[in-house]
Amino acid sequence: MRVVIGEDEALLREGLVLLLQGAGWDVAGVADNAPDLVRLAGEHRPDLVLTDIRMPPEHSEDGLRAAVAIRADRPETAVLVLSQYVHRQYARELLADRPAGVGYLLKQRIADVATFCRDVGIVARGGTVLDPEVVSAMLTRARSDHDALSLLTPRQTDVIALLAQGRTNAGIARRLGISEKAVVQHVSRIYDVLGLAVTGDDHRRVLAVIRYLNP
Amino acid sequence: MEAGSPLRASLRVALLQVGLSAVALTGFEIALFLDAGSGPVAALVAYSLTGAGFVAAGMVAWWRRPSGRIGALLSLCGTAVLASAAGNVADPVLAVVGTVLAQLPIGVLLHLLLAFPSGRLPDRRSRLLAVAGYVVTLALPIPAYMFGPLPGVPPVLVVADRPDLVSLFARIATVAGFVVVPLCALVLLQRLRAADRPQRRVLAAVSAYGIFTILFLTGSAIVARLTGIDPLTQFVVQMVVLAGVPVAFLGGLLRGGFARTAEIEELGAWLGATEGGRPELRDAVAATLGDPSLELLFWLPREHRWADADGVSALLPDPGGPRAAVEVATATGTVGAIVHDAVLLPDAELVRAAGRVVALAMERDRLTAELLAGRAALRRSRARIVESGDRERRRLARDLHDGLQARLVVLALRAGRLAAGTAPPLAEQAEAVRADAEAAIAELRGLVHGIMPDLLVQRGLPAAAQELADRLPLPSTLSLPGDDRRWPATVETAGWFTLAEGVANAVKHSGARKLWLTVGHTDDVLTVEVRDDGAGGAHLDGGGLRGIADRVEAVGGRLHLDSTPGGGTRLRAELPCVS
Repeated sequence: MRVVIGEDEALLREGLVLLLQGAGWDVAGVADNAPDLVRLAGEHRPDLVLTDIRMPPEHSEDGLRAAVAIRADRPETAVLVLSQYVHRQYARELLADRPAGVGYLLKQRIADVATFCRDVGIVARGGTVLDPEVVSAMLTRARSDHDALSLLTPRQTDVIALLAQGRTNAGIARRLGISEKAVVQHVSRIYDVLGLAVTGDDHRRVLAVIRYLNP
Repeated sequence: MEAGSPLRASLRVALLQVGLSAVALTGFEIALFLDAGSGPVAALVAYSLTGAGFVAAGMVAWWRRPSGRIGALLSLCGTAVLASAAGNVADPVLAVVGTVLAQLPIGVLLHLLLAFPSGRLPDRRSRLLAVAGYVVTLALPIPAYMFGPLPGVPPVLVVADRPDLVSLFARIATVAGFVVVPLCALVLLQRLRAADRPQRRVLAAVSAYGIFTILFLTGSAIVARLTGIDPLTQFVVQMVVLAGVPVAFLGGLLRGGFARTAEIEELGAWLGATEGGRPELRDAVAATLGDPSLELLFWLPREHRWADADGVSALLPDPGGPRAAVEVATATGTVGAIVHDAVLLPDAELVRAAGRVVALAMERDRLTAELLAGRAALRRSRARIVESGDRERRRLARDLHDGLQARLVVLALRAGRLAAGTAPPLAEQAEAVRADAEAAIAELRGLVHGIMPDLLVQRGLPAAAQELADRLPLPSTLSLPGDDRRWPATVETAGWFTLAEGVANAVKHSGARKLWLTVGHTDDVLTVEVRDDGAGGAHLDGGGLRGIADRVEAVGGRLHLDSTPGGGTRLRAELPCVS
């Protein structure tokens, strides 16, 4: 699979290239500014675009705008956006048009190499991965909007948070140290409480939860 | 004030007497015309009434503007008309008086027009023209009744029968009239052209009609001679035109030519009035001198500049322009200046007299202006300090983000790759380094957020408020404006810190169960509010809130705190956004 990387900090750019090449990715291009990133994405038609939000020329939200523009041009392109800060508003904008093949993570998450490589894979295959920080903001906000969330047990709240981050049943079980069967039970209880449609597909399940938390 | 002024009371009595005398004179004359007038009685009666009209208009002008002379001149003109009308009475003495003064109304009319609107002749050439007008209308007709008898008049004044001299002087008078009258018209026309808009409003009606009248009265004799129009018709037409003059003056009066003025004595009474109900000094001086455009400027000696009452810099008008300035001084030096319309109020001495009366009051207002100027300077300097502090915060946040935070991510990534690529126990140690680096990054992120939140800089206050609410550990209701208008950076920052401090206090100290956050605005005021249902009892003197109040006040805003014990807390900042 092919990836194009946008990152203006040279050391990080190098690190990302090595990391992804090590995970078997074909790094088709690297850009240190937003316009170049859009151009390279158009040229190489990659499966995934990985970009920092703050990039030249404006050093503000250039990377985010580039990601949105790239997906407007080729909706099948997966984008994974990294930033020093994560904001619920940005997540909502990324998920707005087509909430599949989208990732939004704190930059420091790349240091956990194994998890990061797995997340890159999920996004590239059309999945959704959100940073725990964003998910926790979504949950806080949703609590003011929906009383139903207060009916969940603390364990179920842990499970829905991991669901919204894009984790599979197996992933959630591993993270919480419980059996997959227990996860399935929690998930079905969550679905009952929130009135969501039951589906076996991990990806749709995640999207349903995100939509619920972030209307 | 009006009723209490002895000067005004005395003016009222004087004008009453002028009016009564004019009524008596007019009635007396009309009675004589009806009894045995020489000529068409109706026209003569109308002529007398025209004179009375002049006197009436003069009284109104005199009352409205006692310090001007227009009222006196109008009344004089009316008296002259009444006197010249006496020439048509059968009584020999009155007929002689009327003959001598027959043309005086024209002379006074020229004087009146040249002296409008102040009542004073403003320059040498108008003084010369006024004198010339009196010569033409009083002196040049003398030979006509001294060197030959006039029909219907007893020949008491005749010293010799010299028809040659009579016709010679008649010619001289005609020529002189044809020189003086057009020159007057020219002067009036030039004045009208030089006037600015508000002055023209006042001058136009009177000057235009006046020019028309004097040209018509002079020219109608020729027209009559050429067209053979009968003398009665000519007389009636002339009279109608003349009767229009007081009407034009009253029109000018209604347009503001004679704003009611008070005496300087009244100004003194005003100064003694109680502080509370007293209008502004400027208004009082403007009313006294009858110039609504009048301004007071104050001299700020320390800053060596002129300023208005609010302390804002101002300049004195250039000499010779449409505005004039008279400086006002006390024993200690210049305190200010009265700036007035040079045409409406040409008498600098009068302005100076008013200045002497108000000098001490101006000294007090000058100190106020100085204080206001100082306060404005102080406010600007506070705003600049806050602004430069904010700029520093932004720079610091950016530097930390682009420098240290990025380096720490690189460090964490290196440790992570090392951990992934090696075997224990090295992998475990690398993993520990990665965890430490990530903890440092998270800490630094919180620090940078406290210095200047990224979202506030990128997206403005509503977005930052939303994020603040997203991270609250308490349930909250957030109300935001419908638009995403941006405000000056210092205003947004002041709003942000108000919200953040209010939220921090509510969460830490109040024991609140719920929070309400509001960001709203009108056209020029941004409002932020944090309300909770906690214990209340917060003080603005507490360290954090004091700093917020300082910051809010530095940008010209106000911070309100309602925090009764047991009644929850409401912190509200109103931030003006017009520079």
